[in-house]
Amino acid sequence: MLKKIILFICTFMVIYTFNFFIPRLMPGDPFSYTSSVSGEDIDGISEADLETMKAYYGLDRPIGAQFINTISSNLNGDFGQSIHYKKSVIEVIGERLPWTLVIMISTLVSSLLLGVSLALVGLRRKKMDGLIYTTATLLSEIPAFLIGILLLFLVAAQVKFIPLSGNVTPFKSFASWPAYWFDVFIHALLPITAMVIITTPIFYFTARGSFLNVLKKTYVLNAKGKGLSEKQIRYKYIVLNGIFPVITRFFLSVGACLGGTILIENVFAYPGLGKILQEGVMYRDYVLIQGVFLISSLMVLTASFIADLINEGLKKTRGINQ
Amino acid sequence: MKKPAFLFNQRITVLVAVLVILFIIFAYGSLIYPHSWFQPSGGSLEPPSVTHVLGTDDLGIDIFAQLSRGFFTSILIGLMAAAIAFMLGGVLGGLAGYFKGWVDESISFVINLFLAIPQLPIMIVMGAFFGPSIVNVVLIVALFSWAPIAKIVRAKMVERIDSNYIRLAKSYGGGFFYIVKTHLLPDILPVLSVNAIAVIGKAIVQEASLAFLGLSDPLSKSWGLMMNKAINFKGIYFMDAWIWWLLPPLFCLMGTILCIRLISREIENQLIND
Amino acid sequence: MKKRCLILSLILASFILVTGCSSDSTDNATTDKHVEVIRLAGGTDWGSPNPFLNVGRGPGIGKTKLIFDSLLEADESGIIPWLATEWSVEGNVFTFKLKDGAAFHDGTPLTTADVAFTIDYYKAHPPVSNPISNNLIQSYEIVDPGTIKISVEKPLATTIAKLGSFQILPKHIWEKVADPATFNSPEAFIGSGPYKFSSYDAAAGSYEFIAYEDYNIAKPAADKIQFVPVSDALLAFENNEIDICDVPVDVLEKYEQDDSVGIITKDNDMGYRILINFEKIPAFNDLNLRAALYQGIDRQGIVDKVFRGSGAVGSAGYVPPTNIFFSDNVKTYDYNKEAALAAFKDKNIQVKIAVGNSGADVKIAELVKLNLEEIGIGVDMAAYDTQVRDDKVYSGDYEMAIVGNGGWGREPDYLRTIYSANSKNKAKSPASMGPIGWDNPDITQLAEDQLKEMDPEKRKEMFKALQDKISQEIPIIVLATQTTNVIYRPDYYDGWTKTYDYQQFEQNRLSYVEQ
Repeated sequence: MLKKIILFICTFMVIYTFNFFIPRLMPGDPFSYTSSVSGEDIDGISEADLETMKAYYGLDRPIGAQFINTISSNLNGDFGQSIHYKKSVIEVIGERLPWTLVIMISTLVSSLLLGVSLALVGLRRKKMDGLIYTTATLLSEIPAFLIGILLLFLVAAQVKFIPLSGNVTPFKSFASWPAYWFDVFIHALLPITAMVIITTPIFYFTARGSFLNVLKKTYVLNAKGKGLSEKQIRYKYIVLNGIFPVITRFFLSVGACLGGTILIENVFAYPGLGKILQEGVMYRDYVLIQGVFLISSLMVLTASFIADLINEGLKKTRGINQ
Repeated sequence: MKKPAFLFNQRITVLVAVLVILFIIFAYGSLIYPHSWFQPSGGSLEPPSVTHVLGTDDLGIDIFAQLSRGFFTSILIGLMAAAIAFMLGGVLGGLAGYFKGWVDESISFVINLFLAIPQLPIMIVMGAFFGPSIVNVVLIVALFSWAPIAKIVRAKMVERIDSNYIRLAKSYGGGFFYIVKTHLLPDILPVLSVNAIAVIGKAIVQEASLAFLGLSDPLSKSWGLMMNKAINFKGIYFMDAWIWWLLPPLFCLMGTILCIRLISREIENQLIND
Repeated sequence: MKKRCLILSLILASFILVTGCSSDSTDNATTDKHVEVIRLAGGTDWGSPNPFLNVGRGPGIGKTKLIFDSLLEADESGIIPWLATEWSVEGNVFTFKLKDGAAFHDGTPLTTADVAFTIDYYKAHPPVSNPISNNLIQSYEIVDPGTIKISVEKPLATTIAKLGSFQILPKHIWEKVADPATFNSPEAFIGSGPYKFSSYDAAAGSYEFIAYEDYNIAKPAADKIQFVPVSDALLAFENNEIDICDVPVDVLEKYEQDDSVGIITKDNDMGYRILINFEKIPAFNDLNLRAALYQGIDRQGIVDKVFRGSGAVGSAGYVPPTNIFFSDNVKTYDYNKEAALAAFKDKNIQVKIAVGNSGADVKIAELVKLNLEEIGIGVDMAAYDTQVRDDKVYSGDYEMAIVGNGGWGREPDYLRTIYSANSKNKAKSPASMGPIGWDNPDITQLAEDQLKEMDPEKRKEMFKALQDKISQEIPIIVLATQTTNVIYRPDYYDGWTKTYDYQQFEQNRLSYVEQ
């Protein structure tokens, strides 16, 4: 267990350090966004103003000092000012993170439910199982953003009430909360669908394997002997005993899901973390890149840590049982 | 030694046949097909016709020629990334499994580190940092593909190294290379290969993802890049051009990835059954 | 070919004149037209609309200008009074008289004390876009609450425009603010402009401004201005969700037939050029080879393929033909592959060209590469992330570079920062990327002198002479300039106004007030 915690902390430190230095070593600096496209022409920043700006963001100091300073202010809960958006990083992320979470959580939860249901259906009907298995195998190998593009052109561009992009209809005053949530739902529908299509197979495979395993175990036979009906066995014992690997898988999938979401957000111009990460890189907004990294790696690392905890716990209880 | 049974698996035969057909079609497109993949050979956005089988893009460059070029770019990137991941994963995983102790501890630590890192965000930053070029994309993809291979190889190694015949070989004074070559490699190699094939597919996807985000070499022709250009073309929703400009690379990408991943899956299943 | 170019530019110019006139006349006809709301395509986060928090590009600054007024404005013909009703110059002292009754959105009167405070405040805390940077203002003197005298070191042709365009802060609010970068309470959005700040959603990129009812400089033309995030601007325009939108050339034809839709062009405001680093490739010190470069590149092809026909072949004098400062006498270079081929024969020139990795840059690069290879130049084209490419250009780490930027429709003081040996490569701005290792004293002299010329007509002549000279020397290969088209519904709202040197009328304060 201690080893896991050390790994957790070390991984975090490596990402943190990496993510501090790499952007700063990149050529280009955040104050010279220059090759403006039409309509974005700016007067060049004068040398004196540039110095003032750099001093303000602490970028005039040696990189070592910047690093130490960043660590200490991060520890104090200060994640700095985004250079491009001109507001605190916490604020910028606070505006975007919920939307990424909407997609990620809906994807993971619906994929889990769908995957488990499909696995259960497959247990009952062998023929169906073959069909589902093949389809799932095919779908699981296609990246979500390709499906997203297909949906964008085949569905969103053709069906009027499904929007092409964005997260919610702007300036619309909604009569009620359900109306608002419906609007959010219809905007998130396609991104989530694309994600669910490729995530469901993962849960399906895990659940199927785990349930089959449980079926082989003797206590199911015992239960049968006690005269419980087929249905009761299936839902009570199989699900209860076979669900843990699926839950572990749930947490382990957070990383892959985050990656998929970042791409999908770019397909549907959905205003989540993916979009600000790309913009942060484009504008060399070191502070913002750092913030996005911090939050996304924390999310992924914590999720896999939880998965480890569950596994560990399972091993222990099994050990006691045996 | 028995013949590897998977070669006779029907599904694998079909999948390989599909890949071969794709290869032939695109070889035709690159070598014999009259239009250049980089030089405009027609008007802008011409619909498919007899001269331009899949039409042209906004610069008037033939789509089918680009598609053919993209196939080889993708496959090449996949192969190179897989080769590097194969070497790194094999060597590091092997060393960790063979030597145990602190070597194992430290290598395993690095493996777990790479497994835990959220990949795409890091790849985006690295893509921008190293600059968009095919070589960099290959390196970045390889860097994030070796860890799972190493982990599996290590596990296999640990399992085998404790077996009696290895202990026996060691006690007779068998050296590292001798033991690895005669006793371990035959066991490890199939596992390693299956995973390397899987990496080819993964590398193609990741290159396409980076290209789609505008982080691959924009002057090369790859499928991800073609899609990126098509989807960013202003007014594409109002034109028919997306049908011949966007869909071909999309379906080719899907098809190729599917074939490669399914082949590796089938071989893996065969190995498990054996 | 030469003729064709000329005719083409003439046609373009007359087209602009016609559209310019027609919008003028409709302006007059609909002076009293007031609309409830003007809706524009949003969707991008341009930062909070105040001088310190906007993201410093046209759309960010434009939104800020709706809320924060400045001393002067500009219309199609030149600089006009705004917050200052009168101004005069005496030596190096500029005197401004403020309009009576001007007040901030919270009711506090706007006086010269606010102007003076802003000057000081901007010195300590430079705003995102700072027209009075580099200590332009030496000192000021508040004569009375309505009159201020501002002294500069040396009055230049651009000084009045700069003094007239900085955004004025309310003293009573900002004197308490130590760090403007973190100050974002509602008070941070109180200005004296025609519109008041209403709402802003960063994630969605939506903005709303409401008319400032007590505005006394001009009447706000709408009760509300909204920047609506849309999935696809054109779809939204069709569905009547927005009132104005950019239209791709490929679908423009459809709207040309439609009488209910007006088209405004932003003429040749975006342009692309090839920079040569003469220190790295001295061969191009030979003027004939530079001319051959021009001849060897099918620039009309770039206009046709990359800009889809909407734009013009780059003028060798740099300033695009639709700019009011354009000189008709610039030397033109026609596409002549054979001549170029002959010039480069046996020269065995190899170049490495740096290019950005965004859309049009790459497409232009592909075409240029093909052209150059056809005339016997070996090309190694390398695409970089735009920031990296810019870094290379600023540090001179390139042989040739293709760069593109906006603002070509502006007053061509940019000729000075690009071609003058004394002013080029000084600031990190696209308008100051000049040729490295090349220098022409006459051009430098003329480019510097125009800045000191206070008579607009004489200055215009100097700009023209400068272009003619540049078109002979051609140290930069001007590839092509792009025209973008905007559609709107004139029946609903027709107040869109360009200024004499600014094509981006959606960013223009005058577009949103009745005239």
